Amino acid sequence: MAGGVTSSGVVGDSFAAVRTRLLAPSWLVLLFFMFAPMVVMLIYSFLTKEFRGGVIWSFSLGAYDQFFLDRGLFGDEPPKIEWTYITIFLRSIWQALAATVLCLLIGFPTAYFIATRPVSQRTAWLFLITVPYWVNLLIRTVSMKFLIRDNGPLNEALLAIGLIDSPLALINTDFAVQLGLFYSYLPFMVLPLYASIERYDFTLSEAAADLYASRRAVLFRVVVPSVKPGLVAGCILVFVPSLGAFLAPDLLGGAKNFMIGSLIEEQFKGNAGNWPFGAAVSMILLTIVMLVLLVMARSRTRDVGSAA
Amino acid sequence: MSDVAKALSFDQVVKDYGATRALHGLSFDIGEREFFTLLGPSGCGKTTLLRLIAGFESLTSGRIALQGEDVSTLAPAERPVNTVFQHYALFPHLSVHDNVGFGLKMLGWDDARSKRRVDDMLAMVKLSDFADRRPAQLSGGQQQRVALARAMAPEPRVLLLDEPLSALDLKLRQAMRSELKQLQQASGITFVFVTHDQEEALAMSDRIAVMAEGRVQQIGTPREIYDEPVNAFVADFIGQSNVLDVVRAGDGWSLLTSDYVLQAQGRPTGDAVRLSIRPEQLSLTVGHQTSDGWCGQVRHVSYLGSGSDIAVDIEHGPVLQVRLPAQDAVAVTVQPGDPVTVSANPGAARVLG
Repeated sequence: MAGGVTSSGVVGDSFAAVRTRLLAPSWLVLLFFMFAPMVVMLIYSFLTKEFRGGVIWSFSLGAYDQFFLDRGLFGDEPPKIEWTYITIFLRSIWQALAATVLCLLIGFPTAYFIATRPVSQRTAWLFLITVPYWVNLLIRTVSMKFLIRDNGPLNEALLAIGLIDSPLALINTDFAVQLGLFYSYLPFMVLPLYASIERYDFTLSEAAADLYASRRAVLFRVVVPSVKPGLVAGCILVFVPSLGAFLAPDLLGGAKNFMIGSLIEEQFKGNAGNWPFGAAVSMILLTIVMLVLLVMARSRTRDVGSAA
Repeated sequence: MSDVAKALSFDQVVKDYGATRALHGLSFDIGEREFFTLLGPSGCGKTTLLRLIAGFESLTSGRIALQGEDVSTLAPAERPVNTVFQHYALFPHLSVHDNVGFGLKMLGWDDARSKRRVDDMLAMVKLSDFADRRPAQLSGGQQQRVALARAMAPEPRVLLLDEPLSALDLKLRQAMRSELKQLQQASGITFVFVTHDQEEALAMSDRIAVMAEGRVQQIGTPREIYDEPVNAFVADFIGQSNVLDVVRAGDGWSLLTSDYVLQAQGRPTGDAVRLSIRPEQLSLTVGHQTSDGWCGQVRHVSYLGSGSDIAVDIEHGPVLQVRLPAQDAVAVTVQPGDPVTVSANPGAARVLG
């Protein structure tokens, strides 16, 4: 030790060293649980498929070719665009968007209601929101299926009170899938929105009303912009898992209402799968999700940037 | 008040929160173009009254009229009054320009007219160069001025100010006092100003209503309130005051334990009353002269720069606060424990109701 002269340098170095060591576990977790599986997926998507599941270690663009191009039954026709999978993607995006909007429409008033209760009651309300989620997602989705099937309690009740003459065909429709997605991901909307609204300064609403804003103007010009971070977070947390969901479409949607999640799931299940194709579909899904997040992040940095 | 136009009149205004009565039937008027201050300690009901005028709270009973028109049941957006909030409540996502223009937009002013008005307002509060900033990029004093410009932009008939200076530091607060007063005089808008700071109230107001426990204690000009407090609360709350329990002694009043007799102004209601004497209206002489004043010992001397505060323990009596000018010969030399005589200047003592 050279004493006081170098002490500041020593402190700086040891701080950096300590920081690196303290961060190491997090880095390892990220490396092992996020980075490594994605690399595996990326590599597998460029390999050749083995018919009983698994892969053959030789480079191939076959999986991506199968996704985008239609070369006829025997693979010898001039390539056309393959619409099957793109349609599944578009339907999934549509379903995920609809689920997000639905969760927002129901979740916002819910979160607002909870955030405006006395502090002592809020925990209880939040608890009620999360209680159903202590039950496994599969069980909840199956219960939903029983509730809305042709001779399930919902139809029986509607028949009993004479609102309908014959059972509503709810199961195996887009609507059923939508219901399942909405039900599965609602709390992911409510919780971040609640966190934002709870921090909202309600004097701002008074100020807006004082400045002649109607109730509607108070909501859309002051409240919504102020809680935007929670709103964006909630939308991402609902949209992203909805896009890749497979339980709701599998159990409630039937064969016609296939979504990306089910398509991927099928490629890895049993012996009939196609691992490189499943991996390729996953990579395409990942790309879309990243693009969406990037756009959202951009819009947020722009907000922050103009505020700074 | 009858010959002056009334900006606001309160008629038996009562406000209850559950079982607690916050305002006990207030009735008074505020004149046009008046700088009117509601002054009182926290919990006295001054902010409640302000919120009732703005429409954020609803009356339990009574009536509030704005320029003769009953507004008691109107929503905040339907009342031509605007508020400057204690913590400004600027919209964080809007620029300074859009904050000031918010009310105009809601009123449906066209863009050109609204822009002119906003520019005028920003020039008025000397923030023209800051129009594109966000509130978070401004200092406390600047945010304060934006809040003022925002509330004045829609040309309200009455401007409500809820302790707007309390979040600023002392220097800025003092600068803003004269600025506010000038703005009020230039704009001709009636200001209703809420504060717990009596110095602020005395410096700016045309008239002050001193409030305590949901009641108005006294309404008057700053001078009336200071010189002629109607009760012990007002005397003590506005500036400092020595409040003495005295009995009739000949043609004047004296403490039971002293021979010193002094004259008092006001209308006594019996043979035992309370007097109020301001610390600066008491004098000190060294030594004991029983006939010239109250004898006692100096307990404590605080040097304040512009003067000295001296606490004197009166023999068999109360502790009196005396304020002497810095140059005063006694103030310079007096020490704790010294025997002194305290006497009241002529006309200093006032009978409290």
